[in-house]
Amino acid sequence: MINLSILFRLASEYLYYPSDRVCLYTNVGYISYGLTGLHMVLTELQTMYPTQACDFGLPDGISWNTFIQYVLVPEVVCVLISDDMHVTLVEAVRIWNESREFGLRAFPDELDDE
Amino acid sequence: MSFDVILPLFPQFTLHELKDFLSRFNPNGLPIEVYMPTTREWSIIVNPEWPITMITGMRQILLSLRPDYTRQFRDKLRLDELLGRQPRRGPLTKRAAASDLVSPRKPKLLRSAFTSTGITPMITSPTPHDDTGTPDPPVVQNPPSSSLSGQLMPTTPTQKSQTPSPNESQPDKTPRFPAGFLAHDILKGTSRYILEREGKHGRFREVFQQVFGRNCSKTTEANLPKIYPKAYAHFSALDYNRQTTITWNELVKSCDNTTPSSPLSKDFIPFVDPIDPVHLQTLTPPPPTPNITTTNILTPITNLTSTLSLASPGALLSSPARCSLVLDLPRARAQFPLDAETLEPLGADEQAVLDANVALIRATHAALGDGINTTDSGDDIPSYESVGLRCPFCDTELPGKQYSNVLLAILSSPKIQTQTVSDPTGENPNHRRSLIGHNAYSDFCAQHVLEELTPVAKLRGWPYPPDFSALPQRVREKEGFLNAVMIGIMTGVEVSKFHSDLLSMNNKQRYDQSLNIISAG
Repeated sequence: MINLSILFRLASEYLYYPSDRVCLYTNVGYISYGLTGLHMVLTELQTMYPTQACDFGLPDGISWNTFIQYVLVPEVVCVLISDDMHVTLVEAVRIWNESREFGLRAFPDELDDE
Repeated sequence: MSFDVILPLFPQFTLHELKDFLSRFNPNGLPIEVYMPTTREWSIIVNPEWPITMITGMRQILLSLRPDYTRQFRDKLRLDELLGRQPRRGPLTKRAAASDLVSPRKPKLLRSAFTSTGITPMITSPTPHDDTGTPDPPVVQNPPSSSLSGQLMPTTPTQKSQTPSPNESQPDKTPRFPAGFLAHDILKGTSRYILEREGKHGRFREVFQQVFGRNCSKTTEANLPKIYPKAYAHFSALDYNRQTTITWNELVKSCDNTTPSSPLSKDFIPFVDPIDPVHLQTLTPPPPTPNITTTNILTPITNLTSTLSLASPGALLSSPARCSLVLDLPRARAQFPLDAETLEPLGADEQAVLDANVALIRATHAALGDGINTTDSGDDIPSYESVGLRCPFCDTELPGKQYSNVLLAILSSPKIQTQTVSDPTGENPNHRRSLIGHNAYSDFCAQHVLEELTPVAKLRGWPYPPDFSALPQRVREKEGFLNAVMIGIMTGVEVSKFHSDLLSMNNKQRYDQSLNIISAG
């Protein structure tokens, strides 16, 4: 039984895993702005959209806050990067992946310490 | 041989994509063994374009080249040096450092490190120091100079047979490798030698070659098991630490000297005590004891002869004053012929002098161990220029020759000074060991990684330092874009990629939850 569950788990990771892992909020630093800048973007978006702003039904287990974190924040950040670096949105995703480590190093998450 | 490779891509990758690795370590395209994380087995991959699947969250994988392959490239690529400079996974302990020095994996690195010009020569004649200069540690040294030792310490044929080194006759002319060793490492090396010798491997000659840098003669091979326990007792009596240096000749001499029968023989030559009077002058005197004045430590020979009449001469030979007695040995021997009956234990005065000396040495070692060895450590410990500057905690090589000001400020902060201890190793003389774990030095390592990455940021043109004040306004201006994104999601016309990823992740989480329910039930 245990071996079967492990096999299922591996299969699920292989089948359901997204191809491009940009969206995971905990793994992201916004170029040289780091996690500090990302928190600023998040708080600004939460003030802009305090409640659900659109009519489509969110799937089970996903709140409005989660939607902001995982969809709206990456979209805004991609546009901001493309503005900063004068590149297209596809290039912006690539630059975001490259600069992830530097952003985390330069401006780590200050909320964890408190 | 196995390598940890940090992967740029996942969850699938091919060996064909690791072009740097393959061109460097496998230029002929030979098959490579890979530890497959999904099946947990080593499997040989012949075609480098076969995909390798990884578990999510993994960023590293083990690749191994077969030993018969690596032998072909060892000489070309200098793999020994590369392996020697690989950062260690854990902090270096004393045992690991000693085994590094002795390990058969890096003889080339060891040799290049010791033959480089950056080492301070251990065979030096003591020179008078300025009073303003920093006091040197009481390093174990050779007899003062070749001419003096040649005149006053004539080597008899029996002595020559006991000391197998060819450097004995001409000590000052081009000291070959080894110039000197750390006492700690030499003891570890000899212990390992003896272990190898008692085992069935028959590799003790190689080990001796690696430890002491020269071939093992038959007399040495016979004497070494006897020498080791005596040397250990001698060093522990001297309160050695890992910064004291010693040469092979001194090791043999000290062992000969500690034998109880040697003072009785006619060919007895006293060993020059490492408590050097020249160094004692420059050191700060110990706190004065009520009975003994510190001038007794530095009594010249003329005063010694007067005090000799008070105490028994045999007892004085085992006292710290014998270091100056050696210089005038023939005269002293003529005045006071040695007999077995005259040997007595130490007097109260001499015991007090000895205790004061030992306390002095301990105080200097403690003072040296607590200081930061950042820039002026070259005089105390051998510094290897070929290795360069290293992080004192994670042992990674740092660019430049000195720490930056920020790093120095962090290093001298009370947090690091109280929670970490100086623990120099053979590879990294500035190494420090943490007492409470990685929390003590995480700031330091984060800072030097950031300093390594800042040139990359400037090269790529990333905004650094960024303008945080303008950020909220810029986000507020993107409101129209965000509304368009949400309308696209709602109508299904233009679906955001991040939204589809969120949905798939949500599906995965729900799948995992259902698995947990099944396994629990």
